[in-house]
Formats: sequence, C-alpha cells, structure tokens
Amino acid sequence: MRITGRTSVVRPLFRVIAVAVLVVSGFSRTMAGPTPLLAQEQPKQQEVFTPIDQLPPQEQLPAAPLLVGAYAFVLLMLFGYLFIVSRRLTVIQQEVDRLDRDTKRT
Amino acid sequence: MMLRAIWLIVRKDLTVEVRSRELAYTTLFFAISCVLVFAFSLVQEGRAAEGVGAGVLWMTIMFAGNLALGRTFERERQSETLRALMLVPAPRPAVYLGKLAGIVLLLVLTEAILVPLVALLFQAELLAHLFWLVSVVIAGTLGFAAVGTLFAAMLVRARSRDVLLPVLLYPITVPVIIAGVRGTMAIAQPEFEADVVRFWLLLLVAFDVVFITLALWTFEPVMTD
Amino acid sequence: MPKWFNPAILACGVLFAVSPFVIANAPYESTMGLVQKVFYYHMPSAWVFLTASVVCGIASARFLATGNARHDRTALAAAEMAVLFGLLTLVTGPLWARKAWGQWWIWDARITSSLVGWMIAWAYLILRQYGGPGSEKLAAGLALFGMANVPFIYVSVTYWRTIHPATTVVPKLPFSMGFPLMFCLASFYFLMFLLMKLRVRVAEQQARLDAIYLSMDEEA
Repeated sequence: MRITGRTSVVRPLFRVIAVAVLVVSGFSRTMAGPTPLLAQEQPKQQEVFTPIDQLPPQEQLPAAPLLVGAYAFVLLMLFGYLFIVSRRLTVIQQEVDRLDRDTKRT
Repeated sequence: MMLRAIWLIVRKDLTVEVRSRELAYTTLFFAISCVLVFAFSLVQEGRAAEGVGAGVLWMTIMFAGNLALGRTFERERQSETLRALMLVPAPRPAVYLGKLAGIVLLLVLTEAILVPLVALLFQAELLAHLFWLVSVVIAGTLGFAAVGTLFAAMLVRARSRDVLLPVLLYPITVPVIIAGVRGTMAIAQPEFEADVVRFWLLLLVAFDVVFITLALWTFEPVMTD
Repeated sequence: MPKWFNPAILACGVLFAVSPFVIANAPYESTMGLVQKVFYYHMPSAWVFLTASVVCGIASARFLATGNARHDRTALAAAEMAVLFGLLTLVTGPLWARKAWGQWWIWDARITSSLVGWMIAWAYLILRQYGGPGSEKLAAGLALFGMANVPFIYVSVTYWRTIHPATTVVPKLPFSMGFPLMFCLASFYFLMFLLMKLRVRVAEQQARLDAIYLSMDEEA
C-alpha cells in the first residue's frame, strides 16, 4: 500500500472537529433548554418592579456541568490529536523503514 | 516601463471584454439577482429593516466580485495567456497591477448601477453625500480587489480553485466589509457625521496601502514555480 | 523521534493530570464563582492559539523568502496548532460566557477577531489539503496576509461593536490565582512545543517517503 498524499493528519483533524461541533451543539441545546426566562410563568399585573442583585438559587444555571464539559473537551481534543499524530508517525515510519530495507537489499 | 506595461495589460483585457462583453453582463446580472434575493429575504411588509441597504450593497459587491475574479483568471487559464503574461519582459508587479486595474474597472462599472439600485430598493439615502460615498466604495473595492487579484492569480493552477477563492478571500477581507458597511451606513444616516465616515474611509485606505504593498512583494515568489 | 520525547510527553501528561488539583486550590472569583475556573484552561488556549498563528506567519515569510522546505513544515505544524487551540478557545469561551454573561456568544472585539483569525488558519489547512501540487507557496502567501491582517481585524471589529470586557485582568491577578494560571500556561506551551515537534517529524518523514517513491519511479 502506497502512502502518499499531503497533510495526512488534516482529514482526521477535520473529523475530530466535526464530532466536536456536534457534541458541543448537542450539549448547548440541552443546557439552553429550560432557561430561567422561559421557565417563568405568566406574571400577574405588576405595579412596581423590585430589583435584586442575584437570581434566586433555584433559577441559576448550574456551573459544574459547564466547567467539567470545558475541561473534558480540552483534554479530549489535545490528547486525541496527540494520539492521532503519533499513530500516523508510526505508520509512516514503518513504511520508510520497510522501503529502506528493500532498497538496501536490491 | 512599468506604467506602460500596466496600460498594455489593461488595454488587452479591455479589448477582449469589449468584443464579448461577457464579464460585464454576467457580473452585472449576477449583482442584480443578488440584490433581488436579499430583497426577498429582508423586506417585510413592503419595507426593508433600517440600515439594511448598506449591508446588502457590500454583500453584493463581495459576491459579484468573487465571481468576476474567478471568471477573469479562468479566461486567462483557458487561453493559457497567464504563462505568456509571466514571460512578458516587464517587472512582475506590473502584471499584478494591470490585472488589478482591470478588475477594479469592472467592479466600479457594476457598482455605478448597483448603488442607485440598492438606494432605491432599500430606501437608503446613499446618494446624499456623493463624494464620501464614491470614496468609500472605491476604497473598499480596491482593498477587496487587491487581495482577490493576488489570490485568484495564485489559485489559477490549483485544484478546487472555484471554492478555494471565497474560502481564502472572505476571512481576509473582513476589515473591508466591516469598514465598508459602517462607512456606508454613516453616509446614509439622517444626521450625517463626517468624522465617522472619515474614520472608516481612512481605515480602508490604510488597508489598501498595506495589502497592495504586500501583494506586490509576494506576487513574484508565489507565482514562480 | 529523539529519546527525550516520550518521557517529555509523559511529564506533560502528569502536568495536565495535576492541573485540576492546582486549579481547585485557587480561590473562587467573587462575581463569577465556580465557572470562572474555566479561565485557567481558556486563557492558555488563547495564548497558544495566538503564538501558533504568529509562528505560522513568520515561518511562511521565511519559506517564501528562502524556499527551504523546513520552514514550510514548521508553518504547517503551527497552523494545525492554531486551529486546534483556537477551537479550544472558541468552545471554552462560550461555555464560560453562558454562565457569566447569560449568553453563549457576544460579538465583541476580541472574540470576533479570534473567530476570524481562526477561520484564516483553517483556510490555510483547507488550501494545503485540497489545493493540489504547489499549494505550499500559496498557503504561505495566505498566512502572511493573515498575519498582516491582525491589526486591521482588531481595529475594525473594536469600533464595529463596543462591548469591552476589561483587558487588564491578568496583570492584576493575586498570586493565589496567578500561580494556577502560570502553571496551566506552562503546561499548554510545553504541550504545544511537543505537538509541533511531533507534527514536523511526521511531515519530514512524509517528505522522505515521497522522495523514496519518486526515486523508485525514476529507476523503474
């Protein structure tokens, strides 16, 4: 099998990016679902607006899934890329060594 | 020597174009179709949203310009005249400037019809300050064409050149579209402020200077094998 | 690959494994609470993205000037780093923003400029992959234009949209937050260096393979 062609990691990288985009968009859709705004029921006639500093705790977005998601994404992408490129190097290196041996033999 | 070479290249393109008028008509028609498509997308209840005219104008210039660039160099590639051009005993930058002048001429002619059309269809007071409008449009077109001519020339021998030109061109010309749209919007404002328009115009001129200079430097190394 | 490479990768892995603990020890930020801790991965990603873009631009300029393929391989590896770390920045940012600002995306100057810069890096890779023979020089031209464009993109986007989060956060960080940040910055840059070395090696071996096949064809 002849291994030729240009940037050999770009196609797998594109695939990884495509998966990442799908994952993140799915993730964001679940997170965006029950936003505090949409979860409010119809308020009755209000005479006066009362400001508060922070949203009441039951209406706040949980931070932990966002944080964990961010870290998991970063680590997955980085070490995924490392794995893909290392594997590519091994394959190419083997091919080069094989050809070196063959040309030395002839 | 340089100016003469540029003039000869422009004249060559003009001669070819005058005979067939292919580029002029197709670019113009495409630009008008673009405006129509935007009109159908953006006009609601018979009126366009505020300030949309400037955006439509520049989007149309970018799309029509992309088409014109592709077609100009496709014509060179088909008759294999690009190689002949590169063999011309004139400095290489002259070839670039000659092609650039031709493209700018074509686009400006299209815009001469496009701008009044957009002003009409989108109720944008574009023609109120003609000097500023002409300056902004020409400066923006020059910036877009400067980058586009270099990339289109570079891609002539590449694979997938049709789709690669917009892929390369649009991210690089983001400052042109931002400055062009904002400058045009500032011109169309009822309370006209010359300072705002001047800011965007100067940004466009700076872009033109930097990128034409860069293109003149890189044309030779990029075009030679 | 040189002998120190595998131990180095292991060391880098350890740094990344330890980083969550270092970050957990940092104090919470007063207004943003837990989610602000994304900052310790988000900012180093952004810095590596910018560094990689600059490296790509400089290597491209040297390649165009000298024609030496080594610079071209460096430029390619740097572009892949830029796309990778740019993606990390553009994903971790919105995850942070959703909680901190209530919106996934806002069109402010830095974010929009980063998006445009990221697309230029991606366009570079697309050109290398699909442009056919001779696309190395074309891509180098693109990288050069991309780098020259940075001030224009930044200025135009800044005045296009006027939401400015403070850019002075980093110098004013207390040590309790500064240390985890430096730790993560060091880890990210270390990883970028190792990944670039690996990627350049792949490109070198690929070039060697192509040369061998070419010489085999010539002999036949």
